Amino acid sequence: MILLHNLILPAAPSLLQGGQYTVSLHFTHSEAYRVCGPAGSGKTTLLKTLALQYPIQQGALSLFGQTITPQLSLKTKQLIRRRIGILTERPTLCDRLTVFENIALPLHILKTPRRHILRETMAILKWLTIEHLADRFPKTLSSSEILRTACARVLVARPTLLLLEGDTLASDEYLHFLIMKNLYNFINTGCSVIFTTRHDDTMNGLLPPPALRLPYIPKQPTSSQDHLTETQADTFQPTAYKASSV
Amino acid sequence: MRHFSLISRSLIHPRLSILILFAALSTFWIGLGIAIDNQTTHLLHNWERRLTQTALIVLPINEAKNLQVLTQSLQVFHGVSDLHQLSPSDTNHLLAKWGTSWPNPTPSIIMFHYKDDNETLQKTIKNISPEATLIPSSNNKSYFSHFNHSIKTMAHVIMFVCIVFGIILFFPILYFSLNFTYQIQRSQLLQLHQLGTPAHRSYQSIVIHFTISCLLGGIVGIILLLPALHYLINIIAPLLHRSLPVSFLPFALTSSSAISTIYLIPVIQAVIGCIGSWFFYRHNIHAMP
Repeated sequence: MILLHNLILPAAPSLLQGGQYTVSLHFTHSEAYRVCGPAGSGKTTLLKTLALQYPIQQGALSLFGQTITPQLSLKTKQLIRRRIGILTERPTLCDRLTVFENIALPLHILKTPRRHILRETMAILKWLTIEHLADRFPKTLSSSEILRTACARVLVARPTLLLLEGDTLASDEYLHFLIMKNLYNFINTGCSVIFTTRHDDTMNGLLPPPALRLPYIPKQPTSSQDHLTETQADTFQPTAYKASSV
Repeated sequence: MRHFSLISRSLIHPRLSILILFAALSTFWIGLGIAIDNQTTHLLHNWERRLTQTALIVLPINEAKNLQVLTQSLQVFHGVSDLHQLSPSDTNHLLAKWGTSWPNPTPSIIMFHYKDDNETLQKTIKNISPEATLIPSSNNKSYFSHFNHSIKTMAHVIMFVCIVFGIILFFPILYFSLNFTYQIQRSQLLQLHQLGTPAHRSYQSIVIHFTISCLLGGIVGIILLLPALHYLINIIAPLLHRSLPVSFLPFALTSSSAISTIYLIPVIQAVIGCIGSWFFYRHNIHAMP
């Protein structure tokens, strides 16, 4: 479903000499994956690249069988974007729309019938226990309320590919619990989920081992197997672990 | 939830008062330029017609008895209008202009407008009064064409300057308004873009907003232009010995097909606003990552 071949992505120069790394991966349908790496290692960039929010510098990316090239028409790109849901560290909402309208927006873009929009939006508001915020505007919300609203907007359109920043989710325990509890349901409906976490053990037991460990230079390497040295990092090729279903 | 306007409402729509004002001023100047050129052409055409179609009949003193008959015959003659006998002072004035010394009593001179064949007129006059002399006024044509050309050139220059000024007022403001609006809406447009909104649905409401603003500005410009034109006509008409327009000015203007084009200026501005905003937003949205 998703194929990355020799895709060059940027990383913090303090972590990796040259400030970029090459990645080749294959994500399949109805699976959950985990990408680990420290801050600045390019996790968010990877997610944004997969969500077509970051231009491809070099290499090849294929999403849902469609090769992403600069020549690809905007119409096709928008069709692909509508199948992807991304929740990043700093979610943005439309300030001029209420919480309800913000959540309904992806369905409106998909030209979903009004009756269906009302039903789906109300359902997700209740599920995330934010129905009392329906008529509020984003500027009046707390950061956790914004996060839940953004999460609802991501999930309401039932995306085929769900890209989540695990650490962002972890900041709201209830939201984290809900997502993890329903991960099976997402996958069973044909959705692939990619999580990013800073630490390997963040979701141990909940998710399979990391599909990708992004490069970083530890201050005091304990073992050559666990961490990369500076020389190794220069020529680092991320290992893609075969992920198992959750 | 107002379902059908979610995309539109997610965007900030700033008030385009400056664009409306400048579109109005642009319409005013372009309209004024067109009106000046058109009215000058119309006026010159009238003058030319008067001069080239004005004929004189000079009757020697011994033929004065035929004056009544000649006048009556010409009054019913096809193509003759505005027939009158010159007063003795006008006759002397005219003869002085011709540089002819004429002993008293002075001959009788009949002046009239004639727009048909001169030969037929000549024959008719000769039948009535063999001594009468017909003087067609074609001699004035060469003098008038030079004058006409100068006035027309001047009117064209004024029109050109007014139109250029109008364009200068409109296009940069349109561009700045588009750019300003885009900068305000950029983050929202980016959000809509990342949610997969089709490009045309993102900027549809903006294009409509700009089209209406340009049209509104144009209409305001026309509303300002009509009293201004009326005022100008009021000032100039007595100087040109012309009567004031009887009908209400907006309808008086529509009677002339060329000048009625000023009513199209708001529509043209609206079309430019529509196409301009459409291309501007399309280009910028396509350039988004």
